[in-house]
Amino acid sequence: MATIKNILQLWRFYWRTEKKIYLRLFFMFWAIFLVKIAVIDFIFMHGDSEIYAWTHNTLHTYICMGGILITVSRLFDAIHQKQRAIDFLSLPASNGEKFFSRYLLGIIGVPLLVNLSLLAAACVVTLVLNSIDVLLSHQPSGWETIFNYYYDPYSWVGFRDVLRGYYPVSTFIVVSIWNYIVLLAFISFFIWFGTAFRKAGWVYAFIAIFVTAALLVFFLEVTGSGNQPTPRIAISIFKYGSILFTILYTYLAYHSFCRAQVVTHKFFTL
Amino acid sequence: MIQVQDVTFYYGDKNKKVFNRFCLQLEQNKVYGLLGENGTGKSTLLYLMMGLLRPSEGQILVDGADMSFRQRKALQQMYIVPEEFTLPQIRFADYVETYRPFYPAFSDDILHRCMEEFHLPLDVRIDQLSMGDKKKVLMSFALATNVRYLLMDEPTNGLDVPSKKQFRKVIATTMTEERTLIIATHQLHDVESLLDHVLILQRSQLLLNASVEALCEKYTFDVRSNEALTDDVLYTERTPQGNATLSLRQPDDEETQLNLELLFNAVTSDSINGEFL
Repeated sequence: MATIKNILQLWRFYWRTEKKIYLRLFFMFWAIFLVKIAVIDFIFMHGDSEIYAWTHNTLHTYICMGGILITVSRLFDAIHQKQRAIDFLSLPASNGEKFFSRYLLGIIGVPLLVNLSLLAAACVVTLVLNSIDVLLSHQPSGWETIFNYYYDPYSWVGFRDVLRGYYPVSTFIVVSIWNYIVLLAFISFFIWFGTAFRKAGWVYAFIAIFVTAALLVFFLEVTGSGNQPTPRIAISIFKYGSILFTILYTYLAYHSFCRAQVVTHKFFTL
Repeated sequence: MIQVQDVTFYYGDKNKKVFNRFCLQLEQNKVYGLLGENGTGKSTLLYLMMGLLRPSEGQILVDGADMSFRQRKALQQMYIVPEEFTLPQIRFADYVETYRPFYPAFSDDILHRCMEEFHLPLDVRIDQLSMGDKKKVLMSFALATNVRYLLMDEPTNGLDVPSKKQFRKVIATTMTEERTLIIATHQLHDVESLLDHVLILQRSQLLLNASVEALCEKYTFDVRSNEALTDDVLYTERTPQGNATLSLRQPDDEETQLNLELLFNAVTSDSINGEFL
């Protein structure tokens, strides 16, 4: 109980000292989504359907995932700057409380912030389109059109699909949970790199992912299994492996955090 | 009690050790002056005591707690005023509201007294203050936390002459029985009148570890003419007023006030090394 109370106290502390950063992030993502929905999607809407599908889905996922991963990798920036590190590390709270209060921000707060900014951008677009409809036809197109612009970036089953009856709610929940677990593994990986590397941990994390992906593709090509459908067992390994990797990366990030010092010359802390 | 036990520490290069099997014990209820030239490891020692640096060997115990683990209870009894710091861009009253929940013994009374002594209002915007005023604000907060161990790194840097006087008054009036203050500085005159105990560091070695009382009992600090420079003089410096001397106190000599700069120069020039270690 004491730990929960202390974590709540730390969250109050973060809100008081960092609320400008959170608001800036919200508006930055909101502006990016607004440009993406209202400009990029609109440009490609009536063109090549493949390009439109790419901007509508893949680009959207890249923006969401990239935004989340870069943001979470910077959650522990304070420990890499001497004066901020003195302030944060000498604050009377245990290493565990400090780490997990930030970690929870990373796995819940940041995805929530990105989703809220996406929802806000979708609301603005819907509001504007509704207003245009009212002007032209005196009939608003309805607020359900919000789901034309707000769609789950991490899942192939979105709210829109459930609303339209393409999938049952249970499928949506199961798929969302598994997608969130996979997302957790990536978030934990980026938090670890952000904690361990003094500067630009997210760059090294992306490099590590690209190299791993390249090696995997190379392996699939060499073994000739690249063009075959992915076996169910491989999908299961990937899903359950994500849980193990989340635990491993979280432990490594916590370990790096506990060993953090007010030393600015260290490139990497393990 | 703070116990520094066989601590070895280096920044990166193993061959350039800042501390090598360094030992020190600090008692409660004292004002310690940690003196030394720049780069002798004063700040490093403070950071080690706070758990902000980890020794490669040995350990630092504060009331029995190993500071490497940065436990909540241990940190609740410690506060560091670093030489350089950044403060959030908020009003001081908000700063107090933000940080005070972490310090269970926080005292509004001490805070008000300190701010009053420094002639600063409580509702001031921190980012609009000068460096000296920011330091006063942080020191006021540090004293108000009522922690058992207060560490200050060059606290008088950036303060003007009247502010230094205010600083001494604030420290003198807010020091309580249960509190230990460790002031790391090379500005000796600024803290001379506050100290109970003197620690002199040079090349990461503790050259002197003695109470002011013991020093004044053993030595005499006075100004003499050339003719009065007798054999009992251990160290002398020429000044416009005559020869500032440090000599062995004779049984019939009256106790003199500690001249910290003279003592420091005498110790670092090996004139009285090891006497109190």
